Order: sequence, then structure tokens, then C-alpha cells
Amino acid sequence: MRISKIALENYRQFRKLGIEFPKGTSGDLHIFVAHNGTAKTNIINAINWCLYGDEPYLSGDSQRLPVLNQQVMREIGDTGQADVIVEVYAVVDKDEQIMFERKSTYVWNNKSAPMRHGTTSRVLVSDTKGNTQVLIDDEASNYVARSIPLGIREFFFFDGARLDNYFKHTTAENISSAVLKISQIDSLNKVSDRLTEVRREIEKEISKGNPAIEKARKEYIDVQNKLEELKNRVVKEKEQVEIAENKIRTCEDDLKSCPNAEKLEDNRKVLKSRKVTNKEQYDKLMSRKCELLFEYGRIIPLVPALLKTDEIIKAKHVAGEIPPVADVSLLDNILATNKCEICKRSLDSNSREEITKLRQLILMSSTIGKELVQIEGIVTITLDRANRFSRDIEDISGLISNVEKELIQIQTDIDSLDSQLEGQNIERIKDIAEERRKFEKIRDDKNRLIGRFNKEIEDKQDELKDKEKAWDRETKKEQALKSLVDERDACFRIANVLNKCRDTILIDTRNRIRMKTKEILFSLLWKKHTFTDVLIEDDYRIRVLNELRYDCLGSLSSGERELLALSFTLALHDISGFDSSILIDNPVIWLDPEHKSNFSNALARVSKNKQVILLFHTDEYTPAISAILDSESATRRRIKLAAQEKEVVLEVL
Amino acid sequence: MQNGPDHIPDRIHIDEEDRAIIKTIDDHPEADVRQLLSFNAPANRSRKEQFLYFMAIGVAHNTKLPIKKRESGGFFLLKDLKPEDNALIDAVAVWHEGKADVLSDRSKVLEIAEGYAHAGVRFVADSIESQPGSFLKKIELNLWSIYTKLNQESNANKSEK
Repeated sequence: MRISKIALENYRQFRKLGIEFPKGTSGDLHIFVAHNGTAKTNIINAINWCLYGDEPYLSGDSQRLPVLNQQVMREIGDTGQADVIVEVYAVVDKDEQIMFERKSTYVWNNKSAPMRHGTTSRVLVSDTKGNTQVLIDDEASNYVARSIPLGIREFFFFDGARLDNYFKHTTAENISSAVLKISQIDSLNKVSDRLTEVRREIEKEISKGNPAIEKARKEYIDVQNKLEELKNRVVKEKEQVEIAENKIRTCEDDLKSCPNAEKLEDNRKVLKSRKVTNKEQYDKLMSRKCELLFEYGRIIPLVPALLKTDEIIKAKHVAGEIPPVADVSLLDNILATNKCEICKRSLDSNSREEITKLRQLILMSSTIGKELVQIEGIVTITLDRANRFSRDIEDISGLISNVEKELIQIQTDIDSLDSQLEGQNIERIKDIAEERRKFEKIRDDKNRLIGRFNKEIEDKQDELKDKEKAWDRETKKEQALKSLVDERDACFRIANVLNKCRDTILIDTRNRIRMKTKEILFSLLWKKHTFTDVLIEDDYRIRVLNELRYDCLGSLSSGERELLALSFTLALHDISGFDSSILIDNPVIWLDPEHKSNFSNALARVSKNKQVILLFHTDEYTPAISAILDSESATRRRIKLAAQEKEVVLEVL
Repeated sequence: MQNGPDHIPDRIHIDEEDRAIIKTIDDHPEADVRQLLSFNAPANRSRKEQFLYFMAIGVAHNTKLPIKKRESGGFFLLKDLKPEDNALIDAVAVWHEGKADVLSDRSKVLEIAEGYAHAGVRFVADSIESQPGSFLKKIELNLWSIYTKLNQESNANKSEK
């Protein structure tokens, strides 16, 4: 199915516009280019509104506005009515034409805002013979649900800004859900569910009138209920894990714009702390050096004085004046008796004066000697100390120099980090990082809880089997119930067969999608030798293997990841049989220039066999992209706003 | 307490004018000066330590100035001097007089020390106020200069012998 035309009337910024999508000679590629706020994304919203009645890509501001064109609202005045109509024309297999239509009527009744007065949907299906079938409302919705099921619309309508994260963040459940939806096994599931209900009715019938059977049944049901409860808990916890992972991803996306900011800030903190420590060390060393300078400042200038004193002391040692002779008792006796003890004569005044002088000289010499003896050791020690000046000062200066160098290096590193962090809101980054840590903890806690519940589920499943056997034994004792037991067993067996069929179809579908995804991806890849395989594992996790057979999904570039999403989608289309168009809003917005070109080339190739509608932002549609896609495109149009910026017009490029 | 001919000194005196200079040093705005010499924090030098430092600086400049007017009350008590401090004061006196006899006159020894300290205060004040650059750096360079000169003299003496 390809879209041949979209007609919009009074839908948001579209007053009355028909957009044709004729096939081109080289392919089925259609390009729209628009500035922000010119209703580019509302083309995808209009198609969704027409088919499903909602607008999933509406911006927050527009969500509060009615779908009715605002210019129309002004023109109508206080009374009157206006219709919003979107029609999507599609062609299926060249012979069947389909027109999807949704219409909302707005009525004014002297109120400031118009009220919606009902919405209708129609599907007109025309075959090549001119027969047209008209389906209205529920029938129309059922037709849409069969043609392009709501559940898989994300595989037809893309937002390029989100496509990058499609496989990076998607869970196995997404893949599983996609495979389940396109496997068309809903009827098998319904039959299986109905069989279970019938079986339970029979089981109730069997247990009537026999207390032993009823007891065994109740025990079985109790365990089964507990098991269901546990499974529900696991589902709920998994939902919490999913919410936490979404939050973590949001935080990581926010942190993308400031790579490693948190780490840089942490490094800066460490450096700041080291700077404080080093500064303290520097201050201590400087204080120590100051002490040494003061200490040596009192000694070094006195070295000549100390040397002189030392010299005198040594000379006195040589002269025998040290240690001093301090015995003046003989002279004291002479002076006391006034008679010389050697010549036995009495002292005259002159002699007495001479002896007194001699006594004073001896005493003085003794005092000096004693003084010199006292300071001798200190002088020697102080001179030794003075000799250590150069070593002490050089040592401390060396240590100070090292710390100074470290301080300079630390400051250089801090300055470098500051320049890297310049312009970034550190507090906000910290908050985001903290929030990420919080949700990582929640996720890990929940995962542990899930692990515990899964273990309990295993135990309960074993217990359930035992209870079932016990119940079965009791039941089989009653021969009268044989036919009911047979019916019950038949239900059980049939349900098992159906489940096996469903599993087989699922596995087969999964394998076909995998093979097709790989085939398409490798036909589109620009670095073909880098990857060797694409896997969709039993747990529905998608993996891309490199040449060494290692999973490299996480390291794919944005462009490669978009290509994988596109390949997966094309494979889904192929396997499911839904030959739908692909619409991508902002297809290359997050890609680097090289991948923009490569991805554009890939889209051009896809458009050879499938309708591709691309909606570019003006800045996104660079001359390089234009050079690749212009020649391949069937139509190229610029979306512009006219009439007081409230009405969209198209300009053919 | 005043010195007299028979007076036994019990304290060290500085010149009355030196008190104001030393106060300037104690409260000097330059951290280097306070860190090396101040009676106040961060150095917390005692008056005895300050005196011995000024005396050494006076000796370094080979300058002894007579004290014009002793500050009443004195700078610190002699009982605060330890044997190692007395040894330095004695050595200066011996070096100044060229003989050890001076040691028998305690008043004379102290008068010599006070004279060199008086000169030292002036040199330190000049060094702080008149020359640009880090005070500590100047002190360090000055010490290296003295130390180097002493070493050279010592080596010369050894070679003569």
C-alpha cells in the first residue's frame, strides 16, 4: 500500500490543501523541507489522526489547541459550523484504491470557543471494476486495524530524532511484541484462551460432590493463584525497571551534551583537594625554612666571633691556663698573718699591696678560665651547627621547590578543567547525575526483586505440578467422571498443540525477520566488512556481530543504528506482508555529515521499491543531502506558512 | 634599673628609640617580616630571641653603636639567657675586644652586646623598609653571602697553613 494523495481541510495550519504523491521515474521518494513551526510534523499527525484518531507527534503547545484551523475559528464568528477533514488516498496492489477519511464537525453557539460536534470515519474501497465499498465508523476502524494495525504504526511512521535510540534503548519486549503482532497468530491465542476457560468449567464440574477432589482442586487453584500473583508482581516490577531505565536514558541523553562533565567535576574536586593539601604542606615547609633562617641568622654572622673565641680557648689550653688554678689560700694566709710564709718576714705596705694585686689577678684569671670552660663546648657545637647551614637550607628549599612545581601543575590542570567545564551548568549536571544514580539503584533493586520472584515462581511451578498430579489422582478414582476427565484432558492437549504451533510460528517469523533484516542491512551498509551477522536471540534481544563475532550493537554509530532500525522495519514489512509507506520526520537530524550522506544514499535505494516520504528541517536538508536525493525524488516541496502565519502552502522545488 | 660602677646587671637594655622600631617590626604589614621576627604571631619571638638576632646582624655589619639612652625597664631579664645564649654574647665580646679578659667584666660584655644589637635593629629596619622584594629572600641571600665569604676565608686560611 502506497499513499497517492493526502487532502487536508481546516486541519490545524492546513486550510485546504491536497498533496499528491506521484511515482517518479527513478523511485518513489517524496521530500518536504520546512522551517520549525511550519507544520511539517503535522503532516504525519494528520495521517495518524485520519487513520487512528490521534496525533502522536503533536508538540506540547499544540496539544491544547483544537484540530480546527485557527483562521477558520476567527472567520466563523459567534455562530456557524466548520468541518475538519483529512483524507488519505492509498493504492494496494495497483488494482485496489482506498480512501480513508476522518471528519470532525465544530459548532459555534455564541460561545467563545467552538465545540466539537461529532467525528466520523469512512473507508472507501474501490476495485478495478469500479465497485466501491463504503465502510463507516466501526467498520472503517476494523478495516484500518486489519490494513495498518495501530500497534505496529511505529514501524511505518518514524521520528528521526528518536530513531537513533530505537535499538540502543529498546527492550526485548519491543522486538517480541513486533514479532508477535506481525505473526498474525491472534486467532491461535484466542482459541487457546477459550480452551482454558472450557477446561476450567469441566474441572469445576468434576469436583462437584467429591470433597477429596474439591480439596485437591482448591489446593491446586491456591497455588495457581499464588503463581499468578507472583507473575503479576514480576510484570509490575519489570514495568518499574522499564520506567527507571527510561529515566536513566533521559538523564544520559541530558548528559550527552556535556560529555564527562561529572567526571571532570570530580577530577576538579580531587585537584582542588590536592591543591589545599599541597598548599598546607608548602606553608609548613615555608614556616620551617623561616625558622631555619632565623636560627642561622643568629649564628652565621657570629661565626667569626665564635672562631676567635675558639682560637683563644685553644691557646689557653696550650698555655695551661685552662683549666684555671683557683687556689689563693696561701696568699690569703699571708695577708691574714701579715707575714710571708716563705721568708718568714713581716709584710710592709708595698708587699701587702703587691700580694693583694696578685691575688686579684689570680682570681680574675680563674673567672675568665671558668667562663671559657663553660662556653667552650657550646662554641664548638654552634660552629658545627653553622656548618650545616648550606645542607639544611638546600634541603628545605628543594622540598619547597618540588611542592611549588606540584602546585603549578595542579593549577594548570584545574585551569584546563575549568576551560572544559566553562559554560556548563555544573549544579544541573550534578543533579542529573544524582538522579541517574538514584534510578540505577531503583533498577538494580527491582532486578534483584525480580530474580527472587522468578525463583519463587520456579518453586511454585514445581508445587503446581505436584498439586495437579494429586488432583488428577483423586479425579481418576471416580470412574463415573471418566468422560468429563477425557474432555478436560482433550482441552489440555489441544491447548498444548496450539501453543506449540504458536511458538513454532513465532520462531519461524523471528528467523525470517532476522534473515531479512540482515539481508537488507548488509545491502545498505556503507562499511560492509565491519559487521558479519544480525541476530534476534531467543530472548528477543537484537545483536549485531562484528568480524570477531562480538556483539557491537552498543558501539554502532547513530547512522548505523538508524540503518538497522530501517532494515528491521523493512524486514517487518516484507515478512508481515504490509507493504506500507515509510514516513520519516527529521531523518538525518542527529547524524554526522558522513553518515548523513550514507544514510541518504540508503534511503534513496530503499525508495526504488517502496514509497518513502521524508520531512526535513531546512538546516537538515544540506546541499550535500540535496545533491544525493534531488535526482532520486519524485516530488520535492517546501512547506511555508502564509496568511498571517496560520495557513500552510506548498512550494514546489 | 640603672647600671653603675659596682652595679651587677640583671637585665638587657635597648636604646629608647629602638622600641618604636621593634614595635613596627612586631606589627609589620608584610607577612614575611612578622613570620621571621615578630614578637606577635605567627613568629611569636621572645624579646631575648629578637635581641640575639639584632646583635648578630650588628656583628654581620661589623657595627656597634653606643646606646644614647637606655630604655627604662629593660628589654628582658638576664635570667632568661641560657648557657648557649650567654656563649654567643661572650663570643661577641671576646671577638670585639680581641681578648678574653673582657669576660671578667659582665657589665662590659653586656654593653658590647647591646651596642651591636642597637646597630642591628637599624640595619634590619633599613632592610625591611628600603629594599624591594621578599624580606625572607633578602635575609636568605644575605646569609648565603656571609656563609660563602666565611667559607672562602676558611679555605684561604687552610691553604696558607
